[in-house]
Amino acid sequence: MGLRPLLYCALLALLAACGAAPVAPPASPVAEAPATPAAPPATTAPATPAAPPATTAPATPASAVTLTVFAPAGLTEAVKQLAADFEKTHAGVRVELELGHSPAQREQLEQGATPDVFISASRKDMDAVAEKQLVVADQVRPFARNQLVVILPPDNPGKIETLADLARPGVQVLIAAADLPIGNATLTMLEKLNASIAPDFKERVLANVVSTELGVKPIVSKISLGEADAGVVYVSDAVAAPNLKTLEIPQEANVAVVFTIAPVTAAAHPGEAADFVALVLSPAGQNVLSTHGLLPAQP
Amino acid sequence: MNRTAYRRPGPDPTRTRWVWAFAGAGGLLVGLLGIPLGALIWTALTGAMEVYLRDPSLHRAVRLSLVTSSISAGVIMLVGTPLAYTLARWSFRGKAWIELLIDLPLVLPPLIAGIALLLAFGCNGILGRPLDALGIRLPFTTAAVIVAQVFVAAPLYVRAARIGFAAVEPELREAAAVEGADETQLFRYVMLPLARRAIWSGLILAWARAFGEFGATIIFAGNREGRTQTIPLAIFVGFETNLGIALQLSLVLLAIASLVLILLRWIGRDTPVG
Repeated sequence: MGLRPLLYCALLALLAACGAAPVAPPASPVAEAPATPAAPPATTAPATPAAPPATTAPATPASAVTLTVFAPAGLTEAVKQLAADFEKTHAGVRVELELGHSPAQREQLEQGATPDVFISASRKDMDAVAEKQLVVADQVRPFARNQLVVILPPDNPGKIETLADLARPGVQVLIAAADLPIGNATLTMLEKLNASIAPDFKERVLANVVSTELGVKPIVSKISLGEADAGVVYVSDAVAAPNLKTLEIPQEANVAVVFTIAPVTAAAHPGEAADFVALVLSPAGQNVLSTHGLLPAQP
Repeated sequence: MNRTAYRRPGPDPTRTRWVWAFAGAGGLLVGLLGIPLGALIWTALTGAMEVYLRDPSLHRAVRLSLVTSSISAGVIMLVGTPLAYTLARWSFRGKAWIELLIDLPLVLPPLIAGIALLLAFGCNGILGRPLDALGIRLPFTTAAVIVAQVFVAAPLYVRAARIGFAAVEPELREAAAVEGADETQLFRYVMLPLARRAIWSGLILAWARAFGEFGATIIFAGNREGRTQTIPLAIFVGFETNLGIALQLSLVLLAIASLVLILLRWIGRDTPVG
């Protein structure tokens, strides 16, 4: 009983402290320190020793813009870097990435989601939303290509030296579900390899598939954990996981996935959306993409 | 005096207010649960969509889901009952920790549960190498589906059964002891029958949770038709291709679950209150 009023007071004080912080506008990031009432008045700077005092100031909170970008999870690293670069040149803009599967994101767009930019790993999904004018159809641009590569755990438990070894009985292979752009590309690639390896190569590899994963990243994770002997992923995924061994797929059998980008018709921030698309297509943006193992859109 | 006034029959204005308040609050929740399910069923039934229910891969998913969730429920009952009984009947050092451990899987996002299972029973997991020496490789097998289901669903059963056993009046236990019942007879003829209702409802919960399991399964067991692709996984794969497939599969999932739940309730309908 006796404790209760005290508790209420503490709660109220907390609420007041929380409420007070955003109200005081002039000293934005550093102002959080004085909110704790006990802080001595003049020593605000040392309270947050690591924070460089003025660099974050130019952000204008009043006109803060959040640019939402739907992007395939396979492009995670590259898109994150592009987003960071964009935020650097656009003060007050925060890029929020929604990383997922293109078919699922297409579905979300069709169900009324309105990000500002849509990046698709498959032409099919981009065309579907362009046809419904959910993205600006005449601004759809291919901007990068990704190719397939085989990844192996660092200790290569399956003793896989050549692509032909993937068909050896007992080897555990992970590929992506056929409904995903990469899964589809994997099947085409295996089919093409029939010509150079063996007529039943694809069939035998598919018999070794222990799981058709619902994304590229789960394949990378499970190969990193050594749960399977080999997995088929994008080159960019292999670049992002340098500890894994890779097995190149010959150019004539490899399948390119072309990424496309477009501003969303109902974008809340069409100006910034156009700027973001421009950055991705610019030489600087293309440079970022190539450091992540992506190839230019046109071979 | 006051009590007689309180009990006097007749119109009670506070009663109607209570009824309305309760009905209103309850109605909100019923709406929150019912409207989305209704929307799902309505769209699946009325949407002009191709019918995918003939797809053999769907039949494999249904069969696998029924088999794995039933085995999981059986395993949970076999190992969960002794644990629940022990926790309800005796106190011992470390009991509170075991109780905490049983509750924790409930807060764990199933995806993390799947990762935890991989880290324990995966090929390079803590127990993976000893298991491998015995020739057992769990990931990507139907057994892994069952392990994942047991992991996420067992806590529901153990909690319910423990509460059921603990609710048996100590006087009844003592009476049985006075009559000369030994530990086995006490369990078999007193505790088990009296806790039956709680055990049964725990089993229903656990089965339902196992049947709908997705996150831990996709990580630990993977997604392979006929081997590890249960209905929830097939729904997710379907969603990637076509909303119609996902909706129809969800309808199948709901229909089967309703049937089984109704059946289970019917079987346990006239069990005595524990």
